[in-house]
Amino acid sequence: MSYLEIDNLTKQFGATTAVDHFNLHVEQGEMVALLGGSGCGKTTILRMIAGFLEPTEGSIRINGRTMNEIPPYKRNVAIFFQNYALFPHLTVYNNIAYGLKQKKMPKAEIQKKVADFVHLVRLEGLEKRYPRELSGGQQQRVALARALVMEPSVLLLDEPLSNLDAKLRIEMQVEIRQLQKKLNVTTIIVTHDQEEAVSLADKILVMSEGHLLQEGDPREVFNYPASPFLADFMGFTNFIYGTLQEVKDGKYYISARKTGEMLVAGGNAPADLKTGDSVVAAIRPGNVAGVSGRQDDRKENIYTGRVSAVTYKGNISQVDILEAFDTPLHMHCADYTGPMDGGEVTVYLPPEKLLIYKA
Amino acid sequence: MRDLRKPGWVSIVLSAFTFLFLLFPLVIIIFASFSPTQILKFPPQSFSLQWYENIFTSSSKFIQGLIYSLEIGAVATVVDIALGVMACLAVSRYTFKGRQALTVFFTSPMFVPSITFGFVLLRIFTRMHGVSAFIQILTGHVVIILPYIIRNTLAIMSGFDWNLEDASASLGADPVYTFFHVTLPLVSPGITAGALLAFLYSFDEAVVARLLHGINFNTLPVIIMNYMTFDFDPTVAAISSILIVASLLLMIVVERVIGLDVFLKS
Ligand SMILES: Nc1ncnc2c1ncn2[C@@H]1O[C@H](COP(=O)(O)OP(=O)(O)OP(=O)(O)O)[C@@H](O)[C@H]1O
Ligand SMILES: [Mg+2]
Repeated sequence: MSYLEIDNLTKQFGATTAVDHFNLHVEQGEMVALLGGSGCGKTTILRMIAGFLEPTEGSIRINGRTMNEIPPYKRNVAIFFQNYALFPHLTVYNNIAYGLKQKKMPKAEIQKKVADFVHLVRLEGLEKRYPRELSGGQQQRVALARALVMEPSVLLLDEPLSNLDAKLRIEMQVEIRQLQKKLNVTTIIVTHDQEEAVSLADKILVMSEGHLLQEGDPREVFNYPASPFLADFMGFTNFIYGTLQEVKDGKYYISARKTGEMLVAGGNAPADLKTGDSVVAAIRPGNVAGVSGRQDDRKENIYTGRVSAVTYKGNISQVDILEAFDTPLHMHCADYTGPMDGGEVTVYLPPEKLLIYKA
Repeated sequence: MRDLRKPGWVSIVLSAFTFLFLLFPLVIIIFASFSPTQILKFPPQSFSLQWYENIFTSSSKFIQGLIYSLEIGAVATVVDIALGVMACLAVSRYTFKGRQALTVFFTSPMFVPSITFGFVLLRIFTRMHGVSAFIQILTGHVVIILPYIIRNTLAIMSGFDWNLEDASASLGADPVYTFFHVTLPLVSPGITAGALLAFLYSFDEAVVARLLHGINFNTLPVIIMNYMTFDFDPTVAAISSILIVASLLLMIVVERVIGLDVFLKS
């Protein structure tokens, strides 16, 4: 039996189904990341777990207790709201202390706890401010502290770090992870950032339109998405369509219309792939390697195309390559010094970095 | 370029006129209340407090009427705060069929002439026998002033973020705690504004109060009306002056406590 068990959870708003027979089991102290595009039902799931929305169908159990009939304030589930929902008439201190005061905790104890959490989210000196006097990122951290301070049995975080700069975000990730481990609190975190999900969570779930698409270990989901759709979502944004020519020694030989022969190591290959099947290979732009000069030791997966655009993206450059590919192949390089628009460029697609799916 | 924050001369002149138009009658009334003669003379020749004295000594029992008016106004306002806030919570927190219609229904007394409404009440109460004038007038006022509380409370609730109640619940607070610590503090400016307008309306209301009055139960506006039918001396001006000053003090208190702009928001 898992600590948090969600079975067949379904929510309909009139004719639209926001959540569709969603299943999730989370062990005590586990942290699960919920990923998915905008509007796919993440917030709706959290609101049902917290008890603000009644499921149309399905059940939620925490520690063996069915929650469906239990009002939100008796669930001991703390939630970080996507829009923060800070109390505008209370100061930072009183926002964070709200739940503890309500529990009638002794004042000295409240003061100490609030101080700890103010420190944790780096808001020292702002205790007397009102939410409207804070920046978006500061408000976000108050909301985070307000949820964490409750030491709940289940913690729900709806994009808790979306508004922070890169440095603060990493710091907060570390803090959240440490605290979550220390309190051993069962946590669900919603995020749009796959890397955040991978670095924080014990388990990742990817959903689309109310359905669960893939569930698993972060590395597995990150490296071996279960479908081309998920691959795209996980950053494998280059797709090459072709026909499977041969399977030999666990290696897959594909023939693509413009690209020609291609070898895929096939770590994720479905068992039932047969010669002659239409397939699609996928690779992350960061795994496409530029080749300079002749490298005769590598015979496979070397392609020469024409640069159609070079976009500078801060720490990387994106090079779009045409001619050898049906759609522009994106390549990410740390510092690109090759030819610019119109020039010829040779790339190498490492077979072990390529995924293969039935098209 | 013209500074957009500075008012143009048209708006200055218009504001000045509006201001004078509102202020002028008040000034006349206050001057009249100190008049030594029964007929108002302007400018006043000398100064007298006799009309103020007359408020207390007149056979018209102004003070008793004032007390009745305050009682009716206060009780009706308190009853309506309870009714109004519950009604507003229902229509703004939940979405259901006929919600719009219900809101219109709650505010409908505003659109019924008091004389019609008073007449209907009179018919009902004459048949019922033995209902005291206090209860009769109170019933009338509870209905008449409800829209003021509803409108002001609804206006502030329509901008209320109901997520805040969820946030409170997720921090372990039951609905009662949430109501008193989150909802009420945030909507109370609207309730207070509505309650003040409602109270003042009741305090000032003469038509229903006149129709339903008892032999020994007349509210202040009714007594003033009756008085003016027979006597036309500045006693009424003296009463009015006291009420003007009282309203002014009330406004100052409100401004200090919640800020007057709540009246403009709703
Ligand atoms: N109260 C509601 N009434 C009707 N439809 C709703 C309601 N709440 C959510 N929806 C719909 O349900 C779907 C899921 O919404 P939800 O807020 O769960 O998305 P989300 O995954 O959290 O998206 P985002 O990443 O943008 O926050 C959306 O299509 C949304 O329009
Ligand atoms: Mg959401």
